[in-house]
Amino acid sequence: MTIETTKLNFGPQHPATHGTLHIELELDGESIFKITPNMGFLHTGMEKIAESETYTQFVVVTDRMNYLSALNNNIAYSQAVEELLHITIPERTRYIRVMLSELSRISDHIVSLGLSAMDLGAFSPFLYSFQNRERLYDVFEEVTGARLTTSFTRVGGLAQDLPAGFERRVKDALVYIRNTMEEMNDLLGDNTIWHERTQGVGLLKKEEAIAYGVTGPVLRASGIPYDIRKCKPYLGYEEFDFDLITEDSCDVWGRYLVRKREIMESCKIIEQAMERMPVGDVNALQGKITLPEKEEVYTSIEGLIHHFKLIMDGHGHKPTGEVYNCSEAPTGELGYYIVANGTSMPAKLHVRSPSFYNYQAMPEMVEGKLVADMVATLSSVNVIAGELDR
Amino acid sequence: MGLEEASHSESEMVKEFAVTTKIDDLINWGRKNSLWPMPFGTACCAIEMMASLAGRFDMSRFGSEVIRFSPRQSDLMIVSGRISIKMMPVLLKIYEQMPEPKWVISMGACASIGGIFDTYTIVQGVDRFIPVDVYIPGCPPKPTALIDAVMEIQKQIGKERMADHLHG
Amino acid sequence: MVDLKTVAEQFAGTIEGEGAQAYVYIDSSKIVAALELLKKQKYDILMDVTAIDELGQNKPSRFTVVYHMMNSSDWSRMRLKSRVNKKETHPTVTHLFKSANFAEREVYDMYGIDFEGHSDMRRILCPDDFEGHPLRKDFPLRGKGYREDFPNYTRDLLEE
Repeated sequence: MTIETTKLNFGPQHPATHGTLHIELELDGESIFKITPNMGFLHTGMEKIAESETYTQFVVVTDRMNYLSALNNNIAYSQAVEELLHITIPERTRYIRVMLSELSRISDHIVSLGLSAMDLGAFSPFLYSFQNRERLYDVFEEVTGARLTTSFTRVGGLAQDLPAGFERRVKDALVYIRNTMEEMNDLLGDNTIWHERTQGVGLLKKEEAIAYGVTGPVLRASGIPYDIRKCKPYLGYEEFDFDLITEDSCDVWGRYLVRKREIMESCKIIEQAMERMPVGDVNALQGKITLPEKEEVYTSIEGLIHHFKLIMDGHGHKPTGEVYNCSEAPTGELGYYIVANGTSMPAKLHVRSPSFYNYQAMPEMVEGKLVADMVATLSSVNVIAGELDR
Repeated sequence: MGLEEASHSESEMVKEFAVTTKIDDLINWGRKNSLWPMPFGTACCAIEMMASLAGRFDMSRFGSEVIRFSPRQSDLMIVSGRISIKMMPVLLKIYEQMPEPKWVISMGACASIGGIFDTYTIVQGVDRFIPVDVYIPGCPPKPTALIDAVMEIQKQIGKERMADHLHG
Repeated sequence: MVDLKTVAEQFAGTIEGEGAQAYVYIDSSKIVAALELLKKQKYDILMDVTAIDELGQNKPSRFTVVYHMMNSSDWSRMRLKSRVNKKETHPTVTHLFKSANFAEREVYDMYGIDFEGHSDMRRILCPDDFEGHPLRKDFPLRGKGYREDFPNYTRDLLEE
């Protein structure tokens, strides 16, 4: 008996796709017979741009990949270049990077929760989550100068040090976030409709998650305890006290719980980092890797030459060899594979983007299920189109 | 007594209970205070557009309460984000589907001029292919800039005249 | 436990690079067998597949395919490379690792390397009628005119 199917296009312009995705559905009534995920509607050629820009110039482009948590991208990229050049960053930079990385993670998870609630019809969590994000934007604007696309890290350190009075604003923001998360939990956590729409929906078993190379909250909600901050720590994460959150339900409800609890853990890490923040320089002083102070540039000839050579032809940044460096972005494992050839521009730069591999597992999670479940699953996977297509 | 007194009180009544204006101003007033946007958000600017629809920079104060993603029911298209060559046919189709009168805001550097991406796959400004009314610079522009652009569109609508459209 | 040395000895590969970023070159006729062995030895997560273009550098072949493997019990990593032949084809590993599906399509789209045995070898990021392979070194950054090639709309009528 042949089944007559209807073809339906989901996207690329659709209110419930997060970004420009295109999913071709073959429907048998309300249930999905076959699903083909497509992408490429935001392809920008960032990897090609990297081959004609210096290492420092490319930081600006990395912001635009995962635009919900731009600081994580900046930090991951600078880390990869620093490993290639064998630079160690100062202690203070390490703590500042940890703190900014966790603030960025909170902002990404909050938006993901808000948008997935909006997709299923609950509009208020969206407003609460954007209100939270505005508090975090205030913090980012004070430190980096921009709300969304921060471009804050440099090779060997940061663009500038933290401003005075920073701790007070972060503490206020954390109090606000904790209160709002309690409110959102009251709205969604015990809500029967939310339970019915998310429990048992979008199942991704352990073996399938490993076979598809899925990482991030999607993997941890399937019961596998892989978080790079715990398993292969970078930036000194082994010194901080936080839990690795896993759930065993493998469904959308599990991913909601993982993200919600990760926000709380990030708040803990930020408080610990602020308590223990050492004083000192933020830029690595070894070699001539980072820009000198302005007084030196204007008063001494060595400072002037150092500044000129670094800006004009990336003088201190001419590595050889190759590196693959990964870090835990809010969507999963973000890896940078850089092949260098002794010039100031990389020979090849490839981004192992977590959304690319998470998106590939969509057919596994929704084939045979209803269309409404597909909307819930897609928003729980948190695919960000900028990272997907690069 | 008689007719003169009756007409005097009538004109006073008219002043109290009726408003007289030109038809142009009436139509423009209706259009500009109920602009229904069609958010064509692709990338980072879309997040700032969402922020301008959320609590702090509420754009529904300006009449844009109805954000439905259906082109048939909207009159203002906000192109926010970089447009790649794969996405351009989609944009053109949606532009065709919007009924007249329609206006376009090109939000951000990438939609206006290609932004920082001068590559093989990014269209260097949507104004090469569709008519744009207001450009917003920034990468991404703050939500206040988007609201300023909507107010600019409202000013432009206020100057339109029905007589221009009647002759095709 | 396998490490780079045992893989190199068993499959006649050469190790290059230093320290934690060392990798092993394996011939393309043996790469599938090497990845099968790694999968049995708990290196069963294929993190990434990509390729490198070394045009004009006097290397034995122009393209090299790179595989990043991860161990699911102790989370250690290994990198394998394999040279692509002159006809620009390479065997696929989608039957071993499901995550290779989209990744190999992206390598085909960006570099033009055809993976034999892949079930759905078509472009993924560029449009379907795009000609050329963008990440090759001889493809210009600004492209070949595709971004100009759309109809022009004015306020009243459509101009071609």
